[in-house]
Amino acid sequence: MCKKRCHISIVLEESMKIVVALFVLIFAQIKKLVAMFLELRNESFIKAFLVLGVLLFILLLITLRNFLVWRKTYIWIQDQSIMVERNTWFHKKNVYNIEYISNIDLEQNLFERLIGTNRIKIDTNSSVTASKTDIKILFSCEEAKNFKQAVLAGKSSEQPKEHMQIDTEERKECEDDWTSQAKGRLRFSGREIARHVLVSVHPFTYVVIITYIIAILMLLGNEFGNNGINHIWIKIVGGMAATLLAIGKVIYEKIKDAFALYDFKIYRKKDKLYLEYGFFNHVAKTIPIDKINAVIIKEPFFARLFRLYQVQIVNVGTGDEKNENRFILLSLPKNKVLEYMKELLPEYESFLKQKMTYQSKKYYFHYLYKSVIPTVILLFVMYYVFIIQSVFQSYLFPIAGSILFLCVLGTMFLRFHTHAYHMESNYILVSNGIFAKSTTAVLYGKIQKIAITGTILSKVTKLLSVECFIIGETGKRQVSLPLMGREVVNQLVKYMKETDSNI
Amino acid sequence: MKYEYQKLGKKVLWYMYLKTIITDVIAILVLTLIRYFIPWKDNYISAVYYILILLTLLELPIVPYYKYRVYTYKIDEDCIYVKEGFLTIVERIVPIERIHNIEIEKGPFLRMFHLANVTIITAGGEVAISMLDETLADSISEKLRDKINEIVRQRAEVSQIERKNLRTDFRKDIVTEDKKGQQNV
Repeated sequence: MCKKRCHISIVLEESMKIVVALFVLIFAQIKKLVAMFLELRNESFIKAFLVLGVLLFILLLITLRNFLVWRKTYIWIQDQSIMVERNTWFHKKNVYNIEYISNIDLEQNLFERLIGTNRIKIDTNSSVTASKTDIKILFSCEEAKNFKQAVLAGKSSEQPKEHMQIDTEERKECEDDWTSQAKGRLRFSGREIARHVLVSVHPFTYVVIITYIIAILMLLGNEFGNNGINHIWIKIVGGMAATLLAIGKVIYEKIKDAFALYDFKIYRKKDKLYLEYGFFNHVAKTIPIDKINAVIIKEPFFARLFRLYQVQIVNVGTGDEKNENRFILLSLPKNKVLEYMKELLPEYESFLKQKMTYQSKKYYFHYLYKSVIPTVILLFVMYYVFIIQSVFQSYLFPIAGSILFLCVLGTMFLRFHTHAYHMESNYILVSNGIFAKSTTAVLYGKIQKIAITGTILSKVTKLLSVECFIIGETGKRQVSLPLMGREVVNQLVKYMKETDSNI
Repeated sequence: MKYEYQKLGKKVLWYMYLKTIITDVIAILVLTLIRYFIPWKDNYISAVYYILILLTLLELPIVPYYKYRVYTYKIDEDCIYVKEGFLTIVERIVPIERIHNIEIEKGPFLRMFHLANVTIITAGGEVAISMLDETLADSISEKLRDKINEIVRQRAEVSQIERKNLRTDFRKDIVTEDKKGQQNV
């Protein structure tokens, strides 16, 4: 394959980011700037134009730098590897082996859609780079599709050429008609997406808003008592605006989430999942089944109330960018999840039907043992702040202390009722959570490392805590198992040893 | 064949004492600086300061010795096991076939005692067999490398066979489809 440059629009896109950042900066300081400008006008126009000129010059320099980077950056495929070479002052050459590529996705934001380009996102299968995208390339739509095909062909280079052609045709055939009700092809309606977004709201969001309203009302009450009704209207307007802003931000975030999942559709063809979604930023994902490191069945607090289930995957390249979605099924009732999982991921379908084993009640001793020292330290700090330093009223100390105890005990009981496991010969299921619940399914072949922890109490209770490490971005890398006895731990290690890795 | 957990050499204990002395001196310095610069000084803050200093000083005779006694490792046919800790003991297990890379690290203090750390890196994290004798670290790393190369070779052979089978299946499919096509014509 010959060396290629990114589409030239990348220069404009990168420079535009600076313009937007400058605009935000200017907008935040608009009052000061206007004052400064008026002052300058009185003194001399030349000074004002000089400031503007310097800004434009900086922008020009940045654009020139982006242009040079674009001109000297080449991408090509050679010997089963993607090569990215930058011949600028800081010479850089990266070689990514196609065999280790986990995902190759196409993305398009509004600007890219207007000028007909596509962003290619490539991720390699390693935890080291799991929290960010490894390669980002901007090509014209046609070139991007060809490049993706070339990489996919490289991944299975030993296959006969005709096979690849048939695969491409089959894929196209499926992509052509999303409205078809063929098996395993799923398209979520606007209503279903809205339901998903609403049940995903964290209950604390409501708590924060209510606390906000109460705090403002209390503040207004105080002001009313001190200054009388004549001075209070400014505070009322300010308080209302602040509350509305907090509520508006939540609504804005949810609408943004709904647009990000707009027209969510998924299907499976052979050993790959094909996903498409997004209104402003259209995403088309191809996920090889063997690169899925775990499947998570999520039940956020409100979804749990309405008995709805969401399915996520842990896969390098899915969910690593800000606000990126890692769902393969949005909020659905259990029977629907079972039905669709049979078509999309039959390898993981049985997971939903398993009966979980809950941990021994001796867990309470372990939890209290772990919580005693932090709780005592917190109580000591509270005592110091409330009683000795008198930062707050001293009568608030017992209230704050009781809240702390309630939180510790409440977390202990709620966690006990969700933390459970189920072990089969080829996978392990782990459920946990406090208000929300999530059940993670991991194939033994995907476990990279196990850490078994025993405390002083373990000698008495004979219980150990176990953590399995898989490939995934930060936060999704560790799967914490409930406390279990040595024989169960040994069984887990035995299963892991016997299973071949299939990364 | 039965594999036993291995203990570290005697000189490791001296290395651990040295490391603890250095970290304790730094900790006491930091605590004293914080106490000196803290804007409010009362009996409670002083009490916390002296308790922390006492705990730091108590660490020196107890912790390195106990940690040395707990630290053990084992390498069997399939996995690497490392057990370490003080009050909380952690056992880490890594299957050999998941290893991506092996690193040998020798810092200035480790070199003083002719010791080395062997870090085993997998796609999902890493585990270190720390404070090994230099020669032992080299031999362990070499043995692991040989083992991984063997696994990679075996995998390549299996995948070649699988690919051959795939090609044969594909040709069979083409022939069948061709025959069907001819019959239809």
